[in-house]
Amino acid sequence: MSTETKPVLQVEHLSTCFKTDQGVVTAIDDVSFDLYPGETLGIVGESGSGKTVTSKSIMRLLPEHLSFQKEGSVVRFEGKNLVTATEDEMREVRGARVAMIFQEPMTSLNPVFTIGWQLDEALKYHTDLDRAARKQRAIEMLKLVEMPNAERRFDEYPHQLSGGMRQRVMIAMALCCEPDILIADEPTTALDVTIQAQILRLMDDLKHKTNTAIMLITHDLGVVAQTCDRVLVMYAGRVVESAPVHELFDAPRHPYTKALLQSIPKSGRREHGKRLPTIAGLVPSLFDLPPGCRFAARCAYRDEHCDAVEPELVDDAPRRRVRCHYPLPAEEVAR
Amino acid sequence: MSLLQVEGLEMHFPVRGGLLNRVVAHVHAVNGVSFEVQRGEILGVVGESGCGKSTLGKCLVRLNTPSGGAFRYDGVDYTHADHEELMDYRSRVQMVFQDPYSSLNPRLTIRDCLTEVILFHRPHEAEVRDVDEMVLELVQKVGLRADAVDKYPHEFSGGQRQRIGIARALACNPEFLIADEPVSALDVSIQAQVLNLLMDLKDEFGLTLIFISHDLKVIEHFCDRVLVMYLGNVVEELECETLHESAQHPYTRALLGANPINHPRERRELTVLEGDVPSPFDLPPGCAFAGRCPIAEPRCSESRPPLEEKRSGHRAACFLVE
Ligand SMILES: Nc1ncnc2c1ncn2[C@@H]1O[C@H](COP(=O)(O)OP(=O)(O)OP(=O)(O)O)[C@@H](O)[C@H]1O
Ligand SMILES: Nc1ncnc2c1ncn2[C@@H]1O[C@H](COP(=O)(O)OP(=O)(O)OP(=O)(O)O)[C@@H](O)[C@H]1O
Ligand SMILES: [Mg+2]
Ligand SMILES: [Mg+2]
Repeated sequence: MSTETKPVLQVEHLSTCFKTDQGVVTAIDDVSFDLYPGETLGIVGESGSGKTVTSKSIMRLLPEHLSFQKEGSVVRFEGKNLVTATEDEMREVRGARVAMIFQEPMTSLNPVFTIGWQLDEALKYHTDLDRAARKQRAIEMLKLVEMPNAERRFDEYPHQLSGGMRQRVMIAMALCCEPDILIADEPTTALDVTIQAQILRLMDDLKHKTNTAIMLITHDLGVVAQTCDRVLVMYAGRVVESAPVHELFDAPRHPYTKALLQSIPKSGRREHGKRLPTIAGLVPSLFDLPPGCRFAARCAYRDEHCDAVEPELVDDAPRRRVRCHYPLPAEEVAR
Repeated sequence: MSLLQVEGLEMHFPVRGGLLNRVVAHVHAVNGVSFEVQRGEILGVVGESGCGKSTLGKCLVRLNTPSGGAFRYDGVDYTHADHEELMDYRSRVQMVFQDPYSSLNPRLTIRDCLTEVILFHRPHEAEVRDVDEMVLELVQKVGLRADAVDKYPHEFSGGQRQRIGIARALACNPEFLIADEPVSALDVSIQAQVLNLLMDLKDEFGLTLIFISHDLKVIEHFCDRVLVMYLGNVVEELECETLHESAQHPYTRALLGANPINHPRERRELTVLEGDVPSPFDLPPGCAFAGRCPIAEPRCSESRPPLEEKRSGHRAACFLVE
């Protein structure tokens, strides 16, 4: 990826709110980042930090009566702002241009139709192949994602598949149309590592062959280390750090990122059965956010300034940004 | 005596088809699995996606009735126990489900959901203790904020829902927990917190666990022993403390070889196994892994290697393992 090329997607000041029984919450707050063709951008962060909401906001897949974007939110794709695009325009974008693989496949596969029917629908909508050709293509796609016995699985219903097989159906559907952007939300968490390796290689091939930009949401830092070019770290609805992958692993600058890297279980006899390091404390409630830094209460480096004033996300070094009053020194090596 | 003894357990699902919707074949999801779990032990189960891990778990909490074999819990055979006999069993043995969304009632807040479970399974305790307090305690144990209790399942993120699933299983105060991918949707710091919690429950209350996961790093760190499954069978069983050095089965070795790295510096071409997983509809006569195995010999496709004790505490099903 070179910074000379133009981004395919620009997210600027994206804020998404939900209306709940207890009032309105801002689930993601002023999220900004660029996505370039042919790169894999990893998004990591605390569970509940807003990774899924960010991607569903881009795709406009959140329930419209329960959620809204704040004034000034922009998702720029091909000169259009998707936040204000019409539903017709969005239908064009979804699927064919920007595809998404969901975290919980059972909620996005239709339980009353066979796998084959669902793949066929996607192909019908996005290609002009005839019925027989579509079936052939669908089975090819299933084979591509290493679905065992693809011909047979074609006629099965989602409940007849294992968790990992459902996930692979979702991946097949997303890849059907060679999208410009692939948003993959925990695509391999349900898969064993040998299949995971195949899927990661498949996504890598897609990236090289069609210059697809990939947004990879994962909590598996091993997957990030293996496949991502750049990483965005989120915490409590905020982007707290972004950096090229090597730099992030070598020298995380936000204390949350550092703590996250330290919680990975390490293999080997010495560590077996030991309690793992965790980050003490809890994320703040979205209903009751502190005035200062959202990580302050759990941070080893905080002082009064952190409690009082929230730091801005600032450019820190070329291609690095961090939201911290006292970023860790660039030389410090994690672990 | 072991707390749980599983002997030759089988689960075959009928597959219907054709004009008359007759049973045309069977999926051999679990195909003769035997193992034991000691009280206070953590047994890991790892294996290929679709190899029958969830089905095995569901058989053991009797959401599926096994089509063959048997299992005994605390000396009692529950393989075909009826509804009434299962009542008591189910408050002692609980399962955390892989897909938290489809296993939570969308119309109940977390408080209502947990209260219901506590009242049903722990009525005596609920008389003398404040149930609300018990609910809060559970929610905090899994690392959620107290204000989470008045929300509905759809208002949570994937990882938060996964923790609600764990809280619900723990609400029964089970002595045996079957956890199906309980930490797979959690970021590493929360994952560490949940694993520590389970270890505490084991140390303090002697909780026994079957821990299904595809993450070998987690299994290695957290479990005492691991069963490696492939296409409905156990192919290897060994101690976790020395997993790396003693794993012998080629499939286990492949899993270790594809284990994700710790730092982008270690980036390498991932080992990808070539070849196909055979169909669970008609299993081949030989070893199910033979088609993808890098060291397979002709005899591997002719007959199935039995699961044999190779040394104390280490079983493997492979002709080529000493
Ligand atoms: N429909 C909703 N109503 C109210 N709050 C919601 C809704 N959907 C999500 N949230 C809240 O928004 C926040 C962000 O959720 P999101 O699903 O984006 O998290 P995530 O980063 O994807 O986490 P995970 O890693 O656990 O999947 C969470 O605190 C969640 O409780
Ligand atoms: N209700 C069912 N009807 C028919 N077949 C089923 C049913 N449930 C599971 N199967 C089949 O049984 C096999 C094992 O499925 P299971 O869900 O136990 O796998 P798993 O090991 O948990 O996989 P994963 O890691 O992907 O969750 C699969 O081939 C699946 O298609
Ligand atoms: Mg999510
Ligand atoms: Mg499963």
